[in-house]
Amino acid sequence: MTKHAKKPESPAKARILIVDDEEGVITTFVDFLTASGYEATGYTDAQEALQALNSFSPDLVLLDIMMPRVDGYEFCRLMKQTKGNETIPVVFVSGKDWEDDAMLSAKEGGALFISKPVPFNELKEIVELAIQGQF
Amino acid sequence: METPTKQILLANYGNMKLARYLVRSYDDFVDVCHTVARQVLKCAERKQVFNLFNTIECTFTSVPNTLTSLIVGFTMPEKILSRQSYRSRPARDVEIRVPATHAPKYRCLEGQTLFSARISCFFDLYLLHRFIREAMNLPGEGMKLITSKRQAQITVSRLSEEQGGYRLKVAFPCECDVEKLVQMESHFLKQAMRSS
Repeated sequence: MTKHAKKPESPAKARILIVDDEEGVITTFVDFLTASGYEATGYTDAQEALQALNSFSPDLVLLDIMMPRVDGYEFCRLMKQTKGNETIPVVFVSGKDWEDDAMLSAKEGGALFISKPVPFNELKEIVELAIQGQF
Repeated sequence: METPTKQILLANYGNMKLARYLVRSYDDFVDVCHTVARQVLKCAERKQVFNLFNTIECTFTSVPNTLTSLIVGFTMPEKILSRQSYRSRPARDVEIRVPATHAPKYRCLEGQTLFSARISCFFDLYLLHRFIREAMNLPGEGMKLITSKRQAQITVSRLSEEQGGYRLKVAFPCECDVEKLVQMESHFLKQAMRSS
Protein backbone atom coordinates (compact mmCIF):
# COMPACT_ATOMS: atom_id res chain seq x y z
CA MET A 1 0.00 0.00 0.00
CA THR A 2 1.62 3.22 -1.09
CA LYS A 3 -1.23 5.65 -0.74
CA HIS A 4 -1.60 7.72 2.40
CA ALA A 5 -4.68 9.89 2.45
CA LYS A 6 -6.63 11.81 5.03
CA LYS A 7 -9.79 13.71 4.41
CA PRO A 8 -10.10 17.22 5.81
CA GLU A 9 -12.92 18.11 8.15
CA SER A 10 -14.37 20.74 5.80
CA PRO A 11 -14.93 20.35 2.04
CA ALA A 12 -13.49 22.44 -0.80
CA LYS A 13 -10.04 22.64 0.73
CA ALA A 14 -6.99 22.81 -1.50
CA ARG A 15 -5.64 19.42 -2.52
CA ILE A 16 -2.00 18.57 -2.18
CA LEU A 17 -0.31 15.54 -3.68
CA ILE A 18 2.96 14.38 -2.12
CA VAL A 19 5.26 12.05 -4.03
CA ASP A 20 8.28 10.77 -2.13
CA ASP A 21 9.79 7.30 -1.88
CA GLU A 22 10.27 7.71 1.87
CA GLU A 23 7.13 6.64 3.64
CA GLY A 24 8.08 8.62 6.75
CA VAL A 25 8.20 11.87 4.77
CA ILE A 26 4.77 11.22 3.30
CA THR A 27 3.20 10.37 6.64
CA THR A 28 4.68 13.48 8.24
CA PHE A 29 3.61 15.80 5.40
CA VAL A 30 0.13 14.29 5.04
CA ASP A 31 -0.53 14.48 8.80
CA PHE A 32 0.71 18.04 9.07
CA LEU A 33 -1.05 19.36 5.96
CA THR A 34 -4.31 17.63 6.89
CA ALA A 35 -4.11 19.17 10.36
CA SER A 36 -3.53 22.52 8.63
CA GLY A 37 -6.82 22.17 6.74
CA TYR A 38 -5.74 20.79 3.37
CA GLU A 39 -6.73 17.58 1.66
CA ALA A 40 -3.43 15.77 1.39
CA THR A 41 -2.54 12.44 -0.11
CA GLY A 42 0.80 10.80 -0.76
CA TYR A 43 2.42 8.09 -2.83
CA THR A 44 5.77 6.39 -2.45
CA ASP A 45 5.51 5.14 -6.03
CA ALA A 46 5.63 7.86 -8.69
CA GLN A 47 3.91 5.70 -11.30
CA GLU A 48 0.95 5.15 -9.02
CA ALA A 49 0.90 8.86 -8.28
CA LEU A 50 0.78 9.62 -12.01
CA GLN A 51 -2.22 7.34 -12.37
CA ALA A 52 -3.92 9.03 -9.44
CA LEU A 53 -3.53 12.54 -10.86
CA ASN A 54 -6.82 12.61 -12.73
CA SER A 55 -8.94 11.32 -9.88
CA PHE A 56 -7.29 13.46 -7.18
CA SER A 57 -6.88 16.69 -9.23
CA PRO A 58 -4.30 18.33 -6.98
CA ASP A 59 -3.88 22.08 -6.62
CA LEU A 60 -0.22 21.56 -5.74
CA VAL A 61 2.34 18.75 -5.97
CA LEU A 62 5.21 18.34 -3.51
CA LEU A 63 7.72 16.18 -5.33
CA ASP A 64 10.91 14.38 -4.36
CA ILE A 65 13.66 14.07 -7.00
CA MET A 66 15.53 10.84 -6.29
CA MET A 67 13.01 8.03 -6.62
CA PRO A 68 13.22 4.54 -8.14
CA ARG A 69 11.57 3.75 -11.49
CA VAL A 70 10.26 7.27 -12.20
CA ASP A 71 12.28 10.15 -10.77
CA GLY A 72 10.91 13.58 -9.92
CA TYR A 73 11.98 15.16 -13.22
CA GLU A 74 10.27 12.49 -15.28
CA PHE A 75 7.18 12.67 -13.11
CA CYS A 76 7.00 16.43 -13.64
CA ARG A 77 7.56 16.12 -17.38
CA LEU A 78 4.91 13.40 -17.78
CA MET A 79 2.47 15.26 -15.58
CA LYS A 80 2.85 18.52 -17.49
CA GLN A 81 2.35 16.70 -20.81
CA THR A 82 -1.13 15.67 -19.75
CA LYS A 83 -3.86 18.09 -20.71
CA GLY A 84 -5.28 19.87 -17.70
CA ASN A 85 -2.19 19.31 -15.57
CA GLU A 86 0.09 21.89 -17.21
CA THR A 87 -0.72 24.62 -14.72
CA ILE A 88 -0.54 22.61 -11.49
CA PRO A 89 2.41 24.06 -9.55
CA VAL A 90 5.13 21.57 -8.63
CA VAL A 91 7.44 22.21 -5.69
CA PHE A 92 10.55 20.05 -5.82
CA VAL A 93 11.52 19.05 -2.29
CA SER A 94 14.93 17.48 -2.49
CA GLY A 95 17.43 16.06 -0.08
CA LYS A 96 20.14 16.68 -2.63
CA ASP A 97 22.25 19.78 -2.84
CA TRP A 98 21.96 22.65 -5.26
CA GLU A 99 23.89 22.67 -8.51
CA ASP A 100 22.34 20.54 -11.27
CA ASP A 101 19.16 19.68 -9.39
CA ALA A 102 18.20 23.26 -8.78
CA MET A 103 18.61 24.06 -12.46
CA LEU A 104 16.97 20.94 -13.86
CA SER A 105 13.94 21.24 -11.63
CA ALA A 106 13.16 24.59 -13.27
CA LYS A 107 13.85 23.22 -16.74
CA GLU A 108 11.32 20.46 -16.17
CA GLY A 109 8.66 22.92 -15.12
CA GLY A 110 9.07 23.08 -11.35
CA ALA A 111 7.63 26.18 -9.72
CA LEU A 112 10.07 26.11 -6.81
CA PHE A 113 13.07 24.14 -5.55
CA ILE A 114 13.47 23.67 -1.82
CA SER A 115 15.89 21.50 0.10
CA LYS A 116 15.07 19.13 2.95
CA PRO A 117 14.54 19.27 5.84
CA VAL A 118 11.53 21.58 5.60
CA PRO A 119 10.35 23.08 8.91
CA PHE A 120 6.57 22.85 9.35
CA ASN A 121 5.99 26.59 9.63
CA GLU A 122 7.91 27.14 6.42
CA LEU A 123 6.08 24.32 4.62
CA LYS A 124 2.74 25.79 5.57
CA GLU A 125 3.66 29.26 4.30
CA ILE A 126 5.07 27.91 1.04
CA VAL A 127 1.98 25.79 0.42
CA GLU A 128 -0.19 28.82 1.11
CA LEU A 129 1.81 31.01 -1.29
CA ALA A 130 1.59 28.33 -3.98
CA ILE A 131 -2.16 27.81 -3.52
CA GLN A 132 -2.69 31.58 -3.74
CA GLY A 133 -0.74 31.62 -7.00
CA GLN A 134 1.93 33.92 -5.60
CA PHE A 135 4.68 31.97 -7.31
CA MET B 1 9.94 45.11 -27.18
CA GLU B 2 13.16 43.13 -26.57
CA THR B 3 16.54 44.86 -26.73
CA PRO B 4 18.91 43.68 -29.50
CA THR B 5 21.13 42.03 -26.85
CA LYS B 6 18.19 40.15 -25.39
CA GLN B 7 17.07 39.08 -28.86
CA ILE B 8 20.52 37.59 -29.52
CA LEU B 9 20.48 35.76 -26.19
CA LEU B 10 16.99 34.40 -26.82
CA ALA B 11 18.06 33.18 -30.27
CA ASN B 12 21.16 31.48 -28.86
CA TYR B 13 19.95 30.16 -25.54
CA GLY B 14 16.20 29.67 -25.92
CA ASN B 15 13.15 31.28 -24.40
CA MET B 16 13.11 32.65 -20.91
CA LYS B 17 12.08 30.31 -18.09
CA LEU B 18 11.55 31.10 -14.46
CA ALA B 19 13.63 29.22 -11.89
CA ARG B 20 12.78 29.74 -8.23
CA TYR B 21 14.74 28.69 -5.17
CA LEU B 22 14.12 28.90 -1.47
CA VAL B 23 16.89 30.76 0.33
CA ARG B 24 16.91 30.24 4.10
CA SER B 25 20.34 31.46 5.09
CA TYR B 26 23.41 33.37 4.00
CA ASP B 27 24.97 30.08 2.87
CA ASP B 28 21.92 29.38 0.68
CA PHE B 29 22.29 32.87 -0.79
CA VAL B 30 25.92 32.08 -1.66
CA ASP B 31 24.89 28.69 -3.12
CA VAL B 32 22.28 30.31 -5.35
CA CYS B 33 24.71 32.95 -6.65
CA HIS B 34 27.41 30.35 -7.21
CA THR B 35 25.03 27.91 -8.93
CA VAL B 36 23.62 30.45 -11.40
CA ALA B 37 27.08 31.92 -12.18
CA ARG B 38 28.61 28.48 -12.63
CA GLN B 39 25.77 27.42 -14.90
CA VAL B 40 26.14 30.52 -17.10
CA LEU B 41 29.90 29.94 -17.34
CA LYS B 42 29.33 26.29 -18.19
CA CYS B 43 26.69 26.83 -20.83
CA ALA B 44 27.39 30.20 -22.42
CA GLU B 45 29.92 31.64 -24.81
CA ARG B 46 32.57 33.69 -23.03
CA LYS B 47 31.57 36.93 -24.78
CA GLN B 48 27.95 36.46 -23.67
CA VAL B 49 28.58 35.89 -19.96
CA PHE B 50 28.33 39.55 -18.94
CA ASN B 51 25.23 40.09 -21.11
CA LEU B 52 23.57 37.04 -19.58
CA PHE B 53 24.39 38.22 -16.05
CA ASN B 54 22.63 41.48 -16.93
CA THR B 55 19.69 39.86 -18.69
CA ILE B 56 18.75 37.34 -16.00
CA GLU B 57 16.02 39.11 -14.04
CA CYS B 58 15.64 38.57 -10.30
CA THR B 59 12.46 38.55 -8.26
CA PHE B 60 12.02 38.05 -4.52
CA THR B 61 9.12 36.89 -2.36
CA SER B 62 9.46 36.88 1.40
CA VAL B 63 8.08 33.77 3.06
CA PRO B 64 5.72 35.09 5.77
CA ASN B 65 6.28 34.17 9.42
CA THR B 66 9.86 33.08 8.87
CA LEU B 67 12.95 35.03 9.90
CA THR B 68 14.98 34.97 6.72
CA SER B 69 13.35 32.70 4.15
CA LEU B 70 13.02 34.18 0.69
CA ILE B 71 11.91 32.78 -2.64
CA VAL B 72 14.39 34.03 -5.21
CA GLY B 73 13.34 33.84 -8.85
CA PHE B 74 15.57 34.05 -11.92
CA THR B 75 14.17 34.55 -15.39
CA MET B 76 16.81 32.97 -17.55
CA PRO B 77 17.15 31.33 -20.98
CA GLU B 78 16.12 27.68 -21.04
CA LYS B 79 19.43 26.35 -22.32
CA ILE B 80 21.25 27.85 -19.32
CA LEU B 81 19.21 25.50 -17.14
CA SER B 82 20.51 22.49 -19.02
CA ARG B 83 23.21 20.00 -18.12
CA GLN B 84 24.53 20.41 -21.65
CA SER B 85 27.08 23.05 -22.67
CA TYR B 86 26.23 25.20 -25.69
CA ARG B 87 29.48 27.05 -26.02
CA SER B 88 32.18 26.44 -28.59
CA ARG B 89 35.04 27.75 -26.45
CA PRO B 90 35.49 27.20 -22.73
CA ALA B 91 34.51 30.26 -20.73
CA ARG B 92 36.22 29.29 -17.46
CA ASP B 93 36.14 32.57 -15.58
CA VAL B 94 35.58 36.00 -17.02
CA GLU B 95 36.88 39.39 -15.93
CA ILE B 96 34.09 41.78 -15.06
CA ARG B 97 34.58 45.49 -14.43
CA VAL B 98 32.49 46.79 -11.57
CA PRO B 99 30.92 50.21 -12.23
CA ALA B 100 31.29 52.46 -9.16
CA THR B 101 27.56 53.23 -9.39
CA HIS B 102 26.83 49.54 -8.81
CA ALA B 103 28.92 49.19 -5.65
CA PRO B 104 26.88 47.70 -2.80
CA LYS B 105 26.32 49.92 0.23
CA TYR B 106 27.41 49.06 3.78
CA ARG B 107 26.99 50.33 7.30
CA CYS B 108 28.65 49.32 10.56
CA LEU B 109 27.00 50.33 13.81
CA GLU B 110 25.37 49.09 16.99
CA GLY B 111 26.85 45.62 16.78
CA GLN B 112 25.78 45.09 13.22
CA THR B 113 27.33 45.16 9.75
CA LEU B 114 24.78 45.69 7.01
CA PHE B 115 25.35 45.22 3.30
CA SER B 116 22.68 46.24 0.83
CA ALA B 117 22.18 46.67 -2.89
CA ARG B 118 19.52 47.49 -5.42
CA ILE B 119 18.85 44.28 -7.31
CA SER B 120 17.15 44.03 -10.66
CA CYS B 121 19.29 41.50 -12.48
CA PHE B 122 21.64 38.67 -11.60
CA PHE B 123 24.69 40.91 -12.06
CA ASP B 124 23.52 43.06 -9.12
CA LEU B 125 22.99 39.99 -6.93
CA TYR B 126 26.32 38.48 -7.92
CA LEU B 127 28.07 41.75 -7.18
CA LEU B 128 26.59 41.87 -3.68
CA HIS B 129 27.70 38.27 -3.08
CA ARG B 130 31.25 39.02 -4.30
CA PHE B 131 31.43 42.21 -2.26
CA ILE B 132 30.55 40.37 0.95
CA ARG B 133 32.97 37.59 0.02
CA GLU B 134 35.69 40.20 -0.37
CA ALA B 135 34.84 41.61 3.08
CA MET B 136 35.09 38.08 4.49
CA ASN B 137 38.67 37.95 3.20
CA LEU B 138 39.69 40.99 5.26
CA PRO B 139 42.09 40.11 8.07
CA GLY B 140 40.26 40.28 11.40
CA GLU B 141 37.02 41.75 10.09
CA GLY B 142 36.49 38.80 7.78
CA MET B 143 36.57 36.36 10.66
CA LYS B 144 33.85 38.35 12.46
CA LEU B 145 31.60 38.03 9.41
CA ILE B 146 32.37 34.35 8.85
CA THR B 147 31.71 33.36 12.46
CA SER B 148 28.40 35.26 12.55
CA LYS B 149 27.09 34.30 9.11
CA ARG B 150 24.75 31.63 10.52
CA GLN B 151 22.83 34.39 12.28
CA ALA B 152 22.89 36.73 9.27
CA GLN B 153 19.46 38.00 8.28
CA ILE B 154 18.46 38.57 4.68
CA THR B 155 15.55 40.87 4.01
CA VAL B 156 14.11 42.34 0.86
CA SER B 157 11.81 45.19 -0.04
CA ARG B 158 10.35 46.15 -3.37
CA LEU B 159 11.45 49.53 -4.71
CA SER B 160 9.12 52.00 -6.36
CA GLU B 161 8.20 51.52 -10.01
CA GLU B 162 10.40 54.47 -11.01
CA GLN B 163 13.45 52.99 -9.27
CA GLY B 164 12.64 49.43 -10.30
CA GLY B 165 13.90 46.22 -8.70
CA TYR B 166 14.38 45.37 -5.04
CA ARG B 167 16.51 46.45 -2.09
CA LEU B 168 18.24 43.38 -0.64
CA LYS B 169 19.84 43.67 2.79
CA VAL B 170 22.20 41.20 4.44
CA ALA B 171 22.76 42.00 8.12
CA PHE B 172 25.53 40.30 10.12
CA PRO B 173 25.32 40.47 13.92
CA CYS B 174 28.86 41.82 14.34
CA GLU B 175 30.36 45.26 13.98
CA CYS B 176 33.19 45.58 11.47
CA ASP B 177 35.62 48.48 11.24
CA VAL B 178 34.06 50.67 8.58
CA GLU B 179 37.47 52.10 7.57
CA LYS B 180 38.61 48.64 6.56
CA LEU B 181 35.48 48.18 4.46
CA VAL B 182 36.11 51.56 2.78
CA GLN B 183 39.61 50.39 1.80
CA MET B 184 38.24 47.07 0.63
CA GLU B 185 35.59 48.81 -1.48
CA SER B 186 38.19 51.03 -3.14
CA HIS B 187 40.28 47.98 -4.02
CA PHE B 188 37.18 46.08 -5.19
CA LEU B 189 36.20 48.84 -7.60
CA LYS B 190 39.70 49.34 -9.01
CA GLN B 191 40.26 45.73 -9.95
CA ALA B 192 38.36 43.71 -12.50
CA MET B 193 36.33 41.04 -10.74
CA ARG B 194 36.91 37.49 -11.92
CA SER B 195 33.75 35.48 -12.26
CA SER B 196 35.12 32.31 -10.68
